Amino acid sequence: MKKKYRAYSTPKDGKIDEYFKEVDKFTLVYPSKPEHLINDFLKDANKLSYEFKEEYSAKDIPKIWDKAGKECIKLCEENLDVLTATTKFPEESLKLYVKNIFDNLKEDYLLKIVKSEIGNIEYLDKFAPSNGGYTKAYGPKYAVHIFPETIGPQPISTFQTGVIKTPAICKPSSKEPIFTTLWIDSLKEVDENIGKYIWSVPWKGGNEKIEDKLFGSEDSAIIVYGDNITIDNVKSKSKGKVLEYPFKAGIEIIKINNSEEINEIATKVVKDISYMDQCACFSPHVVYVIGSSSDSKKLCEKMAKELDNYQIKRKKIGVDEKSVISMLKYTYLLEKSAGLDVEVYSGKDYLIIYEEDPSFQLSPLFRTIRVKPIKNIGELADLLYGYKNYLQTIGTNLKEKEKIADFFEDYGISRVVDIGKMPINKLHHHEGKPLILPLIRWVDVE
Amino acid sequence: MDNITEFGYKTESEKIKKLKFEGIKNNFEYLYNNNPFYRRYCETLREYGIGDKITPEDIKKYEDLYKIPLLPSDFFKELSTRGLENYIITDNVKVDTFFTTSGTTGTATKYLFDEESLKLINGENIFTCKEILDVKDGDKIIFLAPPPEKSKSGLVQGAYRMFHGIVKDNIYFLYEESIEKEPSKILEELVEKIKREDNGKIHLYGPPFVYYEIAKELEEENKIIDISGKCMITGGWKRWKGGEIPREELYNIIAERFNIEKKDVRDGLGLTDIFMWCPECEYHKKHIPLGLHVSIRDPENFNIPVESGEEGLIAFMSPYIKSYPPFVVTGDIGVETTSVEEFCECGRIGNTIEHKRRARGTLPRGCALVLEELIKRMENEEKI
Repeated sequence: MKKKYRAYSTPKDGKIDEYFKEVDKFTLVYPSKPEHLINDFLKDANKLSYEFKEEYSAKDIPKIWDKAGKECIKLCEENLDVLTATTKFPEESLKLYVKNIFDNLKEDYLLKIVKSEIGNIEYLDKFAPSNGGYTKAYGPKYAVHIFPETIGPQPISTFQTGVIKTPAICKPSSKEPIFTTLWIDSLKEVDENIGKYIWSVPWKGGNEKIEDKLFGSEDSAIIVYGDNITIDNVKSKSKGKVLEYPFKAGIEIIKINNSEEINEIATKVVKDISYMDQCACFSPHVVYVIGSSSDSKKLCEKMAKELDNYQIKRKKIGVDEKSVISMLKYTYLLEKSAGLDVEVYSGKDYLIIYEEDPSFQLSPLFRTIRVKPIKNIGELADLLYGYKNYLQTIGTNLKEKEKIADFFEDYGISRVVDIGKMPINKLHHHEGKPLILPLIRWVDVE
Repeated sequence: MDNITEFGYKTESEKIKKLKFEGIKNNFEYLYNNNPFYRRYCETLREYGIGDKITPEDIKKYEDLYKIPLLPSDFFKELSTRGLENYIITDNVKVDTFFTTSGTTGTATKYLFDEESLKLINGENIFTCKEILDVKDGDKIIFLAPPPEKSKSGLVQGAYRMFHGIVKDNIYFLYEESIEKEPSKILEELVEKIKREDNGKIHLYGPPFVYYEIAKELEEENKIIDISGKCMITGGWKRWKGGEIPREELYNIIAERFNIEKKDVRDGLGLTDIFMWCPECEYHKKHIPLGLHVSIRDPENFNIPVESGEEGLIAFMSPYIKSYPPFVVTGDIGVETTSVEEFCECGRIGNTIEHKRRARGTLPRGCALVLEELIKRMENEEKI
């Protein structure tokens, strides 16, 4: 008999109508009438909002999240098989990603985030002294989290609404609902009561029965991860606040000073590319190499060698993804036959393309990367401007990271980091925005 | 090569395979020897360890056809974007004309042809149209699309040549000049005018979105246009303003509003890269023209066909085109629904395929989208 996993989480007792989906050797259990659960939540929203604020102080939340992070690492390790089935990532990579997700979910770090944004955490509980009087911060009555298929944002996103003590509904991806459930189970393991305020209910995006009601309150907030269609859909229906985290892409800017460096650089770039197989917002899509075409080609060769021997294998991909990557590979081979300056380096689960044309192109992901030579950073000014809505992270081995940030001030960039460190480890600002401030409203008593 | 159109769709499989094999092998040999670009490509694939070294001598039996190096259709788009269409033209072939496919995401893709290739293509297109769709001399065709003078799209140009080869000048266009009123009204008047002149069958031909718009208008006004022929659909099912046109709903509403049986609503898969199409039979199976080799390939190794019923990339090879290498793997996912050894429920020999979707991760394309844009532009020009 297949092992069953709940794909939802609710504090409600009693019978919930369910349906089942088979994924590999597992049975995922979904609520067949998610609109009923949403109605239950909305019916109780005022009460939940009141009770959350009564039962917890803001300071409790970082502590609970810290402990739950440790629990969740254990829980994920115990359930790697089902996470592999839903995420398609191999177990060894999931271990790494889970560790990274929770590495900085520490009480003191979370407190620092709150302090840096609002000064005094007590503002989230009561009127506390401020410039010229007393001040309190109010959050929305309830919040909705819309999560992507890729695991990662659940802990910090629920912290954003948890610390302001706003009850929340999480909408996980219907393909990968398990990580969200495991995360809520971990919170409940640390504090059974907190489960009352964080629900997870998967439904098919666009379900008007649910979304018209849930998104229709002015006193709500939605934190949404997804592509532009998803975000536009949410924004068109939402009457409350919307914090959007759309599809983003990164680039790497590299300078090879001497040939001894190439191995080390290749190792770091490969680390950035293979992390979550480029499915994350910070992942590189193009590597720009300041220097000659031969430098770029040498780097490609080393990267290919590195990827051939890389311990962590690529996630399982479907017919569509395989097709798009193969079409790209053959198109470049044709371009090479046509005499264009391109090279193709491919292995079992990667595709590296050296191309003289420096224009930016989004990658079809899954370890597919273009490497392009440029003369200097200035050359990127025109090439990248058209993509400013997509850009997020720059990985570089140049020392002048501040100068790079200044140079790309108008390009939507929100992180400049060392190569090999593109995965978000310490979330400070997300997409250049604070985490808590956009969700609260201040009241001053003078 | 024997003329494959001398054989019908009831011919036994071995004979059809033999004819296909000879046609494709000969064309591969011709292009390998006369198209330096294609030859270089074959050599490049070998250099990169993709397949064995393939020369015409290696193509000895039907199964060897899978070894023929395929060009991804995206490459044609790349060439057009860079204005390099001439680059892949075969030596000593005089190209006389060009047709286009999508221009939805920038430059339209151009395909250059010589007259001899077009004549051969049209010969088989006419044969397929007569055999599968039963279009006859004396029938009338109404294009729910602009006339060929206004669109270089393969969807319009290829069909015009094909129908002209059967019904001569009995071809009419819904979008002849400009659009002054609702398309359903223009069509209604056009059908009445044709019927006053003659009593032959009237067939419609156009992209899904035009059918959808007209049928919806007719439904709202509770009207029926009696055409007595077939409604032939071609082009993509995506809509210019997003979303996909619901297939079953469209088939049903067309049958109802044009007073025909659902079996006479026929979609067709346009193979614009080689200027041919695969129309549906009365069982709604898309039939491959007899001379073509159409197969579903492993997305990671284009030299391997996937099992019948399994999803993969649609690939096709034409024996007719000499001006460029017509051995193409598309970015479209499909499945083979009848193998080349089997007969379809309709009694015709396979193979038949089903188009599933554009591989996710690529941009939408397809002639229907371009036409929708063109028609909208014509409507807007009229308003201005």
